[in-house]
Amino acid sequence: MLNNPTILFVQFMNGLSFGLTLFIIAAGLTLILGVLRVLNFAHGAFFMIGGYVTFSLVNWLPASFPGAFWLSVIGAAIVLGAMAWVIERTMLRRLYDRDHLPQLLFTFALVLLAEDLVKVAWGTSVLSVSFPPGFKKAVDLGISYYPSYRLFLCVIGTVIAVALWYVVNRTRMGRLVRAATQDREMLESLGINVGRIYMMVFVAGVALAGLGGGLAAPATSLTVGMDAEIIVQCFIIVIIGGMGSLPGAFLGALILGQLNAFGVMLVPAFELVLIYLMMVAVLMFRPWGLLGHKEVQ
Amino acid sequence: MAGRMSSAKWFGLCVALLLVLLPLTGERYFMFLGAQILIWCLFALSFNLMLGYGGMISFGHAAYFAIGAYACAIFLTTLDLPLVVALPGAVALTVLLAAVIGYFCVRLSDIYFAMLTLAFAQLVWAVAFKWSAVTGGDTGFIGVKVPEFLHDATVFYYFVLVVVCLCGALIWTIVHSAFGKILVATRENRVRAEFVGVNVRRVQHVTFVLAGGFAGLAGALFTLFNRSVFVELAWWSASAEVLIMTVLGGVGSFFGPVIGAAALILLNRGITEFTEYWPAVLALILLGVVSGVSLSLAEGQKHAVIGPNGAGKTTFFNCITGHLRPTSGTVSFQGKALVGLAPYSIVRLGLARSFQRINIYPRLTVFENVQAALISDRGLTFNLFRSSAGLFRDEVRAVLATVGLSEEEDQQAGLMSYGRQKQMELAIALASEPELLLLDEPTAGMSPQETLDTIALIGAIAKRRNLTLLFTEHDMEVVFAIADRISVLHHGEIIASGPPEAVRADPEVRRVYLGEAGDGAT
Repeated sequence: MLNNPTILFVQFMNGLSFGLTLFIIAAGLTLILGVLRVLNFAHGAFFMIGGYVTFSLVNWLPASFPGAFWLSVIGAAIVLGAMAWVIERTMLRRLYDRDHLPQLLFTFALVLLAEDLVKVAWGTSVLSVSFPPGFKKAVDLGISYYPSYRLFLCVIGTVIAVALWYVVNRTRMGRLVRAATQDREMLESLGINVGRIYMMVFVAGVALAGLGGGLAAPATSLTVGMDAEIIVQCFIIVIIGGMGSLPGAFLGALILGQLNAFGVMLVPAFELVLIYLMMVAVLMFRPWGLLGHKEVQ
Repeated sequence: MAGRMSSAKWFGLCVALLLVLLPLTGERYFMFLGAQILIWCLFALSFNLMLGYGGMISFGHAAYFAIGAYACAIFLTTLDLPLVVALPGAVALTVLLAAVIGYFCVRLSDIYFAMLTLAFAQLVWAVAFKWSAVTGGDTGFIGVKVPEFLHDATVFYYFVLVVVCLCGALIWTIVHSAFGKILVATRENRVRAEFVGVNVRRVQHVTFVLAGGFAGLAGALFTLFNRSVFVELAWWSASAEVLIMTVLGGVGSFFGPVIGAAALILLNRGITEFTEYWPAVLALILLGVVSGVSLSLAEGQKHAVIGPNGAGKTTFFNCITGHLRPTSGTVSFQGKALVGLAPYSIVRLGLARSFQRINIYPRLTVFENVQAALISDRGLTFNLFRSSAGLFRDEVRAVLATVGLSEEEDQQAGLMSYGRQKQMELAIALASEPELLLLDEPTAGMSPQETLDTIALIGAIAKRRNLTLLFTEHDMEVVFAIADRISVLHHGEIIASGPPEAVRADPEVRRVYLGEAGDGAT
């Protein structure tokens, strides 16, 4: 296997597309964690709902409608963003000043609610979304053919990473977000409406999860429990990269993707163990993550 | 028994009676339900040892339940061991693993601690999931050989009842012991606890192991109950479940988790009769709790170090007491090097300190604040069995009398005036009977009258106890009233040191500190 360049290449690409798809979701998680300091266990649930909403929109739009799939994915991101707005305004904002425990219980409650919401609205059978037109075939990459939709996932993941990097590092809004991660009180005393920044970050973070759910839908199948696994993988990415760090999440996603792809190939019995060992090792030796900064207390 | 019983005691008595008499109903369903509730009560109690008493939020407590469950199943079935070996063996294995995992976890705090416990728990899950040969993997460990005598529902129920009650009593003893008091102190204020000589990490490690061990026993009982073990027991949502149970019942009281576990299981049984949407019901309960109910749970010399703001006075103190590590140079006390020692070991050599900003256990009473320092000083930190009620009562009162707080011993410390809190800090520092007392701005933020009182108090105590005082101070009046010797720090360097009159006259000092134009010297 190891001396077969085609297999190695395909595994590498699998890891890449898996990792970059996860990045889209984990980016939202790390943003929320960095700015709001809320450990959002419901992030996987938002991803799941994003997938289901995409499924419904795709089936609702007439098949001949141009760009039906893409509109559905964007629609899912918007629906999730709106949902996040309602959640933030009505409940979450009251918990910022409380300690971790009520925040945790709150996100647990969202996880449980989401589970039942999906059961009521979409039932418990496994659903799937077909590949969008134009992405049904494999393309020739020289070494091997590769499914074009998975290739597309690599591209869109990278595009979103660059776009997020630009927003956070090159715009006024981004500067405020970065400032909010470091010193909320200072920002407030400068006359900035920090509550609004929090709201926007939460909405954007959840919309990213919804977007990720929509984009991942054709490459996976939709089931009620899919959120529980995704959230753990996103936590691993965020931990490896450093809580609150976007470049960290990107690096973490790449590492997790490759670890997953080659772990399955090389140590098929223990690839899961390998991934959690990585998480344990980072926390033990560099708890602030590979690209995070040590917190000064 | 003297006096009337409170309603809580009546309620407890009724519950106990109900538990003992339950098998008289003859209904197997009730006995199984009772056993299930008891097992989860033990699990929640073990978790609350960490969460409620230690303030440690673990996301991976289910791992120890699962380890205990698998170990019990493997010992009984695969190895065909008798119950008297399998049950203690399962607990021992859990304790061992919790000791190893806990060793690494307690090095981190807050969110990092939570994340590492989660990571280890997922690791346990992954191993159980993939190691099919031993654990049964995805299909689970099915067909546990439960000893013959436990097949009878009544016997099994009483067996679980006895084990859980014994463990409950043991946990009760632990949280009401000297160790329990110290554990609460570390939760309330980690830094303060270190500066009365508590090795916080070790206290947390011991707690972690204890909690793991009890969870392991609960898991082992579950194996006997369920006769099969599934890998989901270690998945993170199982850890979330025990957290929910514990918090719903109330982390502040000993029986809160018990009530939470019982209520949740009964509610689950009741509601699933009517609707399949139990998760949504639970979610609504959680939202109610979060939005409405408060989760509150429940040798004789006096040396002053002075200098302008930012001169490095507090940094200097932190270097001496091990809170910071100096980049160069040495610190020694009675000829023993202090650099690199943890605060708690430095304190044990006979140093004590107060903090510039109030650093106390705000939710404990004045008495308990001082008692925690004494427990630590007398080496009872790791005494899990000696009751803390009334422990060192006379000594605590004597210290409180010294600082003039005798009247306030039952007050909640955080609710007292600033000046009183400062006095109490002094009492905490004095409790360990130090030879060298470091005071970081002992009168900062006090009213003029409180300042005068405190000066008099410090002077008197130092004289009576023959204490060596090292203190930093802003207020020149305080400095010259107390100090025998003064050192002036500027930009981290000592620019003058000597008796008050000499320092007062030093031109360099007058220039940098008293703000006067110097004579041109740089």
